[in-house]
Amino acid sequence: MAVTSRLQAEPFDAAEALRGFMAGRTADGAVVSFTGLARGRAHSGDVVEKLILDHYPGMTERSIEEIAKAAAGRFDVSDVLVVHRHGEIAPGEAIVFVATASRHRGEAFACADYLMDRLKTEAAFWKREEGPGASRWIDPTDADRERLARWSD
Amino acid sequence: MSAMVGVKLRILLFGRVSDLLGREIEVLVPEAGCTVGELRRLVAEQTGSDILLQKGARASIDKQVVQDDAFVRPGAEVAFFSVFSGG
Repeated sequence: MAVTSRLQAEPFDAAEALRGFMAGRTADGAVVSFTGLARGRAHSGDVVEKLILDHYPGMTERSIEEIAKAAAGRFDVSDVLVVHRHGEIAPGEAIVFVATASRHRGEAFACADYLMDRLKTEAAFWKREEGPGASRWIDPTDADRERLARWSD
Repeated sequence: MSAMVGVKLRILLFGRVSDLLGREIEVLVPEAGCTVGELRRLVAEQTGSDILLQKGARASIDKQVVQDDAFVRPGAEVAFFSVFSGG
């Protein structure tokens, strides 16, 4: 099994990441992927010019790696891939990409769902939206916490 | 209050707490070290900001998240940060 996680400042092509993840895969019957995009509007409706993902070098990579390994250990999957941005992200650009592979779709879906719920609340990032004349830190929402609670043992 | 004899400790800051204190600060800590809880109070005394005493400001030592009873030795990499907002 391969559990791969990457943290990078540079934009990436989610379609290319998916192609790479699927290439040569003959033993699995399912690949599930999710791409999270930066939005051009805040929940309030205000324009967002860029999203800033503040990170703590070393700690952030480790938090992502731990989540990816926990996901791979919890579900019957063949491979897990997480690609995550940090720094300045423009609206429409990918923030995060996860892909999971398994023999059947159920485990791949569940694993990707679990990965995203944990990444949204437990990955060591601090998110800020910047718009015309305004900057706002983003706190985790109750919905994020409720989604995470679904996975508590 | 008497001046404390101590050593400088560099503290990294991330998220909302960095708005007030900057990306990193140096504070004077006892030569023998102190707990994270004591360090919060020292930062408040030496910077005039109580932001690290407020609920939600978490801490790490050498990149491991710790509680207030954890002991900080001079030379350790200490960071304070707001709650993670996730990716």
